[in-house]
Amino acid sequence: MTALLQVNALKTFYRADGDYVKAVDDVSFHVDVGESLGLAGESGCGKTTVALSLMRLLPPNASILGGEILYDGQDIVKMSDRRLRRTRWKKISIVFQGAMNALNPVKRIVEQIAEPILLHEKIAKDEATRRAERLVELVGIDKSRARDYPHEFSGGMRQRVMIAMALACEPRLVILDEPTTALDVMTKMQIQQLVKDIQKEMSLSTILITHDLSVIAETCEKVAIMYAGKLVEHADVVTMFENPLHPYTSGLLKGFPNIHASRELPVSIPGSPPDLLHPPPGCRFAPRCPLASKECEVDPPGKTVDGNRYVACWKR
Amino acid sequence: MKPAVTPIWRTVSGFWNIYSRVRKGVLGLALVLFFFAIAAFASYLSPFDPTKIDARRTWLPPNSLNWLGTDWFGHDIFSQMVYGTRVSLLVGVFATLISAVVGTLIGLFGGYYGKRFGEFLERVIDFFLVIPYLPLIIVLVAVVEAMEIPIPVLWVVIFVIGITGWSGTARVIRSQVLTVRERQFIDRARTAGAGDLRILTRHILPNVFPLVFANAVLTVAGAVLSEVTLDFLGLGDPTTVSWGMILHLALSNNAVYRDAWWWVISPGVAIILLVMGFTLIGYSIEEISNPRLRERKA
Amino acid sequence: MATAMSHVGSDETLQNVLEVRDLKVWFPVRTGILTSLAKSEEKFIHAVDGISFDVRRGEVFCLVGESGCGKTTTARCILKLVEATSGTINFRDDGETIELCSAGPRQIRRIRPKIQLIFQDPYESLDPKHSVLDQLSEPLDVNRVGGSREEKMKKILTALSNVGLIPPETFLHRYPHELSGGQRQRVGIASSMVLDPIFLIADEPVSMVDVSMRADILRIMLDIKKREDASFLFITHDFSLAWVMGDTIAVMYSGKIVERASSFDLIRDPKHPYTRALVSVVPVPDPKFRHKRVILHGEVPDPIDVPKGCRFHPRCPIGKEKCKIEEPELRSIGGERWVACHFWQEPFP
Repeated sequence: MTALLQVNALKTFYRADGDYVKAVDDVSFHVDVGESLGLAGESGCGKTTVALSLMRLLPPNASILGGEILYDGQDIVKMSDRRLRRTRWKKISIVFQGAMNALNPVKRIVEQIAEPILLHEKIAKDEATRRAERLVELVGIDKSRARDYPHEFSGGMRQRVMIAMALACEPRLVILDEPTTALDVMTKMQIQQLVKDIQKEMSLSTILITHDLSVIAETCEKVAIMYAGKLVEHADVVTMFENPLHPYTSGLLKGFPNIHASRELPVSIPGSPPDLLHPPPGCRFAPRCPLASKECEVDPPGKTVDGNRYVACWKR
Repeated sequence: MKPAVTPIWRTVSGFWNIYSRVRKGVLGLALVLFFFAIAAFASYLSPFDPTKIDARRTWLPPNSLNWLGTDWFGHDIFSQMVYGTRVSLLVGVFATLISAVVGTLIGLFGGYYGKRFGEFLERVIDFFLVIPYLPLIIVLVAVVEAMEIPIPVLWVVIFVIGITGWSGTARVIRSQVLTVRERQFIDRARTAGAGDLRILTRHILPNVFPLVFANAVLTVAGAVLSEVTLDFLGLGDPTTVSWGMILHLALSNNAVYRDAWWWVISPGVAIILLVMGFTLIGYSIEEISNPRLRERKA
Repeated sequence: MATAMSHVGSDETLQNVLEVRDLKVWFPVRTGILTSLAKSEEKFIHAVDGISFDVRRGEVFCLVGESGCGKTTTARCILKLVEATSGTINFRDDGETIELCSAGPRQIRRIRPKIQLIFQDPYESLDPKHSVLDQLSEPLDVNRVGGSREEKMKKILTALSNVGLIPPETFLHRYPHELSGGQRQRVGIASSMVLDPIFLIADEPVSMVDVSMRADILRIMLDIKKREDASFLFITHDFSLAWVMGDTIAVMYSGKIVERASSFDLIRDPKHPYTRALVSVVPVPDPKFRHKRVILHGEVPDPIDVPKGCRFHPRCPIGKEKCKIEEPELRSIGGERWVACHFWQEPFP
């Protein structure tokens, strides 16, 4: 079965100080139809850069220097601007981090949701507004509030509006970058449930980007872990949590306390992530890895294990 | 214990690393230094005494003796320009010192002490901002001169420009202080027990200082222009040689009508260059210290 | 395997370091000129609306709740960054008790070194113009403690070592922009510790620190608790942290405490409907874990126009008639457990 989205050896670097910040360095993964993938990692690991690369929405000082992003067989990296405009929002859309603060304060909610529809499809304003109203209901907001302004909504409700906007042109893949990080735990759960329901109802594929493995455990089917610009492990969620293969994954998992388990303090991984301007040669996690040895001076290639698991470590 | 302000040498060398990358800043600095050099070495640079009149050599266009020509009285314009640099810089710098100090103090206190005191100061600042600047200066100079205080007119001019030019600085500083005041490290200083004065001097001032500096440099440009204007209008000291005075004499003696372009252009161009120099420096400092203004270098 | 549950203190020190009684913090609402001319009554934001709790010596007391519940305001009030509207806060140290709300500036200055704050944001809580040395000497200079120059330096170096910044000398002349987030957080903690406080308020101390480095910060805090027999008021919205760090947890909702118990009791067997719902939705890093999630609808109530009766009743799965009329008080239900609910014994429908 061909995947809906296939990323091969993606390389996205930022220009800085005459050199390159290797933010995404040879990353490969795929997302199947109707699948929810969690892309996890800590700050600076490159996950947001991956998202921006998929949408070709990188800032001027960043560029994709290699690899391919195949959506339905077509390479987004090589797409012309015209083709790209037809792909963005209609095939893949995104809910940015902190997007709920980016709503236009002087436009009504329903107008803002209708905007992408009007921009991407040749459709009458009434029809677009009707579709926008349906989307408002779909994301759990009462129809009577569709004509309110953003400042009349709470953070959680505004995030729902952002999700409605992302769904406006009926894409098949939605990227969500830290959608619930700034929200309270109850609102978090509401939004999580909403995304799950919508995903099932619309057979949507989603990529959820977050540092919070608990959220991924609860909402995603597959999970990919990134560290310092590299993808270190990719597996289905149950297998990954039960039996993490990459030492970073196991280290990261130990950082999340579980209220249904014993009262243990989480465990830190000693050291800190490398400077991506001058990353260490070889495995980028080696300086902090308890299993590191001589062979880790060479960057481990990713390999498939047990059929459908992927891990990039010499020890596995 | 070591003082809580960064060691000066460290700031300067670090600052130059960044500053030297901004092209317009370097240009501005070059211009300003150029004029400072002229002012400093005025006596060596000017071939003639600027006040010396030579009835035989009047209305002469630029020639081998008088590089910028002569005026109606036979003054060598080049020498006048060279000495005039001193006045412009003197007034510019000292008036700005007054404005900057007054403006910063008012901005600091107005921004830090919210509620009534702050709002009161804000009204004061707004009041001064709204008053038409030029008429105010003219009136003040006229009034002070009429009072016949035994202070040289030049210092009256400096004083007047100084105490009328502070409101722009105050406003800018105040809004910056309002932001800095809410930052978490101020809370930290308070929970450590620091009093208002310490917070103002050790925490708020160092963090608004780049803005103070940028603003001060821009104020110098304004002060120079004000000085020129006052002299041009004949309100300055007629015995001092300044660019504004040169312009004043030029136009009141119909230099344009008599096609004596050199008499008008010399001070005009010099004023533009000096003001531009300071403005470029000011903008570059602003750009450096405010990361949001920095252009994205692709 | 480190646990957060540690020896709380000998019988002598098992007294309260902090006693809060009926604390209220109301902020006046700023209205425009027209509205204030039209309406005569002043409106208030009931940020903290009558809470009471005790913190013992050597205890980690967690104040948990969603944003807007009043937990941060409570902390700021104890630190005198915000004035209380009414109520008392008794601070006890070395047999001496000071009531913070009515204390004068001189008294506050005296006990300031004893109560310190650990900040949330490692990037914002340090002055970018101050070196690490400046940062740590300020509390000592301001309070005129620490003795001679050499003694002060010794204190500073010890504080840096205690937070794991070793060798401490190499950090003295660094500036915040030269340090990582985790290191900055440690500097912040060292700066709070240099005064030898006995009571520390930690407001979301690790929420802005990377997950893989959180444990270190938490461990530093527990070390402080053990070494100095210090007490912590740990404020967070993250139940998982309260679970591993707290000895006691109090849940706040709309300016009031709705439940208080030992962390084990509160999380394993919550009584108040709000607590029950919250605990059920805490994210769990285990994909196989399946349990019933009680997702509350709606949002936290308006802090200006507080609903009559129980504040939680509009969202409560149990909510009955009595709840609309009578506000439940925080009552002891035995065994160091306190609940503010009329029907806490009822199961969810």
